[in-house]
Amino acid sequence: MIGWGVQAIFGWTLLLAALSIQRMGPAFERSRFSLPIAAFGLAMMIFLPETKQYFEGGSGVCQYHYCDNDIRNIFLDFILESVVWMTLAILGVMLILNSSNLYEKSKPVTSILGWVLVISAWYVISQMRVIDYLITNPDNLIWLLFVVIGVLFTLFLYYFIIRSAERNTPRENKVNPLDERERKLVTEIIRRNLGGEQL
Amino acid sequence: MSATFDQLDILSVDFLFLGIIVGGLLVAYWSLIHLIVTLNPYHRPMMPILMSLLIISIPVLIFIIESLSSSSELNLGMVLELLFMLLGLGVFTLIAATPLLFLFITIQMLKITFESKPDDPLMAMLDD
Repeated sequence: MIGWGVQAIFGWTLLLAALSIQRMGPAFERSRFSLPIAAFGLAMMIFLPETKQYFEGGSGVCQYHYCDNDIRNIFLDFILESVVWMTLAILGVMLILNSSNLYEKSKPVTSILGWVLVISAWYVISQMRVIDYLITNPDNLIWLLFVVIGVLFTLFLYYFIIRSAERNTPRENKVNPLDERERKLVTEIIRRNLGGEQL
Repeated sequence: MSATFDQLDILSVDFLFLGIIVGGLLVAYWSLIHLIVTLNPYHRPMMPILMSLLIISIPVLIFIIESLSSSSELNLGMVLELLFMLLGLGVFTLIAATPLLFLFITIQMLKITFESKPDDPLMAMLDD
């Protein structure tokens, strides 16, 4: 049986993979595998195996500042609460966007429902033990700042690496211009799309 | 990382250096996963993949150098445990920071809710 930490990291890996797969391909045809992979990854992060007890030996030992079981419980509470507030937030934001009068007519009832969900999400956030701990200990903001510095520095390195890789890519030969038949086809497609004619 | 995790003082240089490593590791791992699952014939992912592996190996190298100078024995399990711990710390930090992003989104939602439709000449043309 694998440890809960390893399972949670694998679940996180699957979530990242699902996000990347979902962004592949044209906008009208995203991968159909991303959603089940994401659901499986999330399930792996939520349904964690129990830790071994101290009398069973192995990973149940207490090290650093906490026992393994304590860290697991804190992590599980944190993930469950995060899933709840993120779900409420996503639904609320979708409803508010759908009800805004920027694109269509305003829908006040839908907007109020969306705001109820967003406020509920903030309520869940305010009740989270971890968030409370982070806010009441401002030193954690300095930790966050240095993590952000690490993230930005690494992204900066990637920028240079990807740019150099792109520059070293051999250029492809110029393609021939469209022939008469292809030109007619493209013109017809554009004319039908812009002209709004039925196919 | 000259001290072990339980000896780290908050705001010490080791602690802040650990923060930078965690941030870098998070990006490198994310990039590695992304490059592997989106592999296609039009990609040239070799350089970024090597870069990701290099960044992921930095804490491992520091750990190995540390263990060489101390009397403790090193094995693969300890290295993997270190990587998983750092990565877990990164994931935890990332998720814990998402309310900041949500704060920004909430402000945008407030604007959208109370903003009226702008007068757009192109939209008017469409209505006509």
